[in-house]
Amino acid sequence: MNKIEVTELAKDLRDAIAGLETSEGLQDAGIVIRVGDGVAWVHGLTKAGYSEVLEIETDEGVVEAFALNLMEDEIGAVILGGEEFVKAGAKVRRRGEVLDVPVGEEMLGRVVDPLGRPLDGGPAIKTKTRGLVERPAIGVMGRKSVHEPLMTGIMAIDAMFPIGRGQRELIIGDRQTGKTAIVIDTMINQAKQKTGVVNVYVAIGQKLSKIARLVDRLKEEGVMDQTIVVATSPSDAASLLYLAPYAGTAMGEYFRDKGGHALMIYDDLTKHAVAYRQMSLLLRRPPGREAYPGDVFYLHSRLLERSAKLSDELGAGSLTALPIIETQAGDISAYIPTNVISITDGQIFLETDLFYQGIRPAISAGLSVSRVGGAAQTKAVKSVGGSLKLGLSQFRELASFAQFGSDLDEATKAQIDRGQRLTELLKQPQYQPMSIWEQFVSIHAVTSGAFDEVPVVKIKEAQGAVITRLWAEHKDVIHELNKGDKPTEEHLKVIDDITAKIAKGFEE
Amino acid sequence: MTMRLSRRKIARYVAGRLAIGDKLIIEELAALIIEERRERDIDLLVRDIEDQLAQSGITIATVETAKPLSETVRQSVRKLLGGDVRLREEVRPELIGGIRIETPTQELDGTISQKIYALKSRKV
Repeated sequence: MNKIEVTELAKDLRDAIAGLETSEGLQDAGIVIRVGDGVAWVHGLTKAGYSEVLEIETDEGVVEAFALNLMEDEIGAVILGGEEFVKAGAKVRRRGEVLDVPVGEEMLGRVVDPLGRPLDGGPAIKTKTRGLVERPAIGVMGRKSVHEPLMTGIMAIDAMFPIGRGQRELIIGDRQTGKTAIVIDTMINQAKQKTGVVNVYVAIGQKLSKIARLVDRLKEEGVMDQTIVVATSPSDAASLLYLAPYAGTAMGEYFRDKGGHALMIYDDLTKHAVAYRQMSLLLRRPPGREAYPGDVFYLHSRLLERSAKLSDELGAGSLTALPIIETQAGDISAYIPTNVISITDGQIFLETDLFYQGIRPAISAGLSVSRVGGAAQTKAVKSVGGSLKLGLSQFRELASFAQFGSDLDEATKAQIDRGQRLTELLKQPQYQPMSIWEQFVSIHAVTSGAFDEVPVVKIKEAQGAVITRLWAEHKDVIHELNKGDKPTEEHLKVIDDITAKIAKGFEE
Repeated sequence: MTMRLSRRKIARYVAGRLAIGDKLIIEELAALIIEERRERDIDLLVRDIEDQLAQSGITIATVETAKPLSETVRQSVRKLLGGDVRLREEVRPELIGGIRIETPTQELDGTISQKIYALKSRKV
């Protein structure tokens, strides 16, 4: 236990008393008429603004709420935790400002709630600045087109559906298909490749055990130092679940606006929409389709529009978003999924069937897309990505014929064989993101035909052998490749030589 | 089906009639409350009416102090609120000291008990 400094305590007390605001005159005050289900209905405060913070006096101290329903006779204010202390008749005052959260480098490495309060048992966070939870998105002229890659380290994504800094790429799939695994690997890759990208992981209504496991994994991989985790569990008030992504975005915007790069992960927006539906119904707003309020599209559009690549005049920073949506029975045409698909710049669709076939990450090459595409891809991976995508799409067309092995012509058989090898190649273990050179070498080995005689089940082994050998014997080539530029003929020769030798050792 | 009038609209109308000295409006209001079964809204209606009266220059304020008000303080309160001020004075020793002035929608709380509450609510 720390020694209590009596002199410091006296100073702190005096400072606190001196700092107490003495009212210059009359202040707006209201009273709670009724309270329940996380909503306090307040009489008075006619000058309260939308989303303004209100302070409710209770026996246990001040409870914060924010005004969401401004009606003629009363205000509906959503309580931010501590609802059990609020009673009818309690005094309510306006704070005169909208919600803000602490932002800054001091938040890195911490696990906080949507109001910036620490949840990791560490000391209270003192930041120099605060960011607005709700903030308009950057205008058209303040943006630049996405042109820098954000490497996830997952070969299937970086090669076929590349993500750029400032892009919004949706990760969508049923439960237990590896959506969170993809974002964890992306975060790990930022630390592994020393990209300097700050991660902000927003857990919306996630199990605390899952969040704890995630934080432990991030610490093990050395990622936590450049990550902020904003955590809400299913037992938190719906208001906190509603605020979590906006609060996290405010924290990410701090780095974006300073010319840095940040990655926002919203896990997941389906739960966010459900929490907002709960709040809206309790605020007696009219329900629409599937009982969601009419502005559920705006809920997500205003969130995701804040992720952008800034122009050079504004510092050229970026905020990339990886929102996650959970579908039911693979239905991507449901209400919330279609809303978010239309907002984002592409989606990575994970299929349960692929997952149980052992294809992990279970990315559907047919339904996934990145609308930014090659503009955000390194030249090295771009040079092999085209062949990869073509090979896989040809394989998909012929997949149903694979069972008629002996009745097919040679060309068809070759396409099927190539497709099977590509599919096997794209399998990747969790927590093992791949660098640019590893991806290039692996894909080139198959698309160039070097691995055509390697049995499908040995493709991963052969891939590992090539990578190990190159790393051991040609570090100079690797360093050049890892810069991302298109490989030279000399580099290709070295790689082809090694690949051929390795492939020979695996042939049947 | 007649639309249920909002409290604010009712208060605005009643305050207008009271301001010109028409006390019959009180009985009419009572009848409306009973007919529309809005007995639970009485306190809030009164607050709204007092708020509307305040906007027309007639301020009804509650002054709470730990000891009885002196005339000097009474005059200061009238000066602060301005206009035609009607005071309701209450003595509450638990306030310890200072003064609390409440109008229907505003408040000035300079009591010692409020300062203690504010201290307790803040992290030192």
